[in-house]
Amino acid sequence: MDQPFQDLDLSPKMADVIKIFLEDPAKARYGMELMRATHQPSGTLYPLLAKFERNGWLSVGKEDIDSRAEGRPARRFYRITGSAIPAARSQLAALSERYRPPARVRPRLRTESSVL
Amino acid sequence: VITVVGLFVLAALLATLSGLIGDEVRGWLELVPRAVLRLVAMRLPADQRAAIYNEEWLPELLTDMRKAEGRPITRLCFGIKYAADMVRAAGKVGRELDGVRDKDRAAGYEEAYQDSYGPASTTGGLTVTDKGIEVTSAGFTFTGITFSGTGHISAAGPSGQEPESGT
Repeated sequence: MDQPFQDLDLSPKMADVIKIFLEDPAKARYGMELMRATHQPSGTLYPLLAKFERNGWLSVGKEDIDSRAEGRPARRFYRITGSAIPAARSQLAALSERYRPPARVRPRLRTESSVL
Repeated sequence: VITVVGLFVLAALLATLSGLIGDEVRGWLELVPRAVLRLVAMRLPADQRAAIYNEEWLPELLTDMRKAEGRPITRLCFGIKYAADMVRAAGKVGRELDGVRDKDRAAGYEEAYQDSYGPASTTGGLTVTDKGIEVTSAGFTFTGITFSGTGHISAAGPSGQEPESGT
């Protein structure tokens, strides 16, 4: 069941995670896959996923496999919710703007008249 | 000749023994990350342990360890790192998901119940609660099942006055 959507202020680490979901919003993502893609350790990633889930940004589901045939239990996957997509896009744009380096300043040449 | 045969037998025994010891060590190495992760899971609130450890952390660990099959040291290192990193995550995850996954479970019960029997309002003797299904009326018969007592049915099994299925 999806949680009601609540807005969040994305930190750069949160942005790293949510950006992966935006690449293909319909795709289910797994914890390990996200750890590799974001280069974040489990201790950092899972609290972020939990925060996103609590605030209705991500929904969770269970992998549809035959555990006996696969020899392993089914994993939980995460998917971005419809309400989170526009919010994530606008927050990523805002973060990108915030961290954009200033325009390159061209060094001014002093005119001869200003040289004493 | 006896010495040669003896040496041959000794070499065969040693090879077999080292193989057995290797298998034994590999087996134990496999268990170490799980044991660490299980210890870490003790930091989770008790009511969330099953939802987070059994249904999320452990399947992820086992799935990824399988990918490194044949490389026991890699598996061990990876598994311990995954588990050890969770030490600092456990408390935060527990706080964030307080009440969230429980609601999921209740919704899951409700969905499964409604898929099988239709809307809850059609059944007077059963109530879907956040902890499972409550049998509220002893002697209540539904779709051929008679509940002889009242009590609670959850994924872990019935509790209270155990409801029994009859005819």
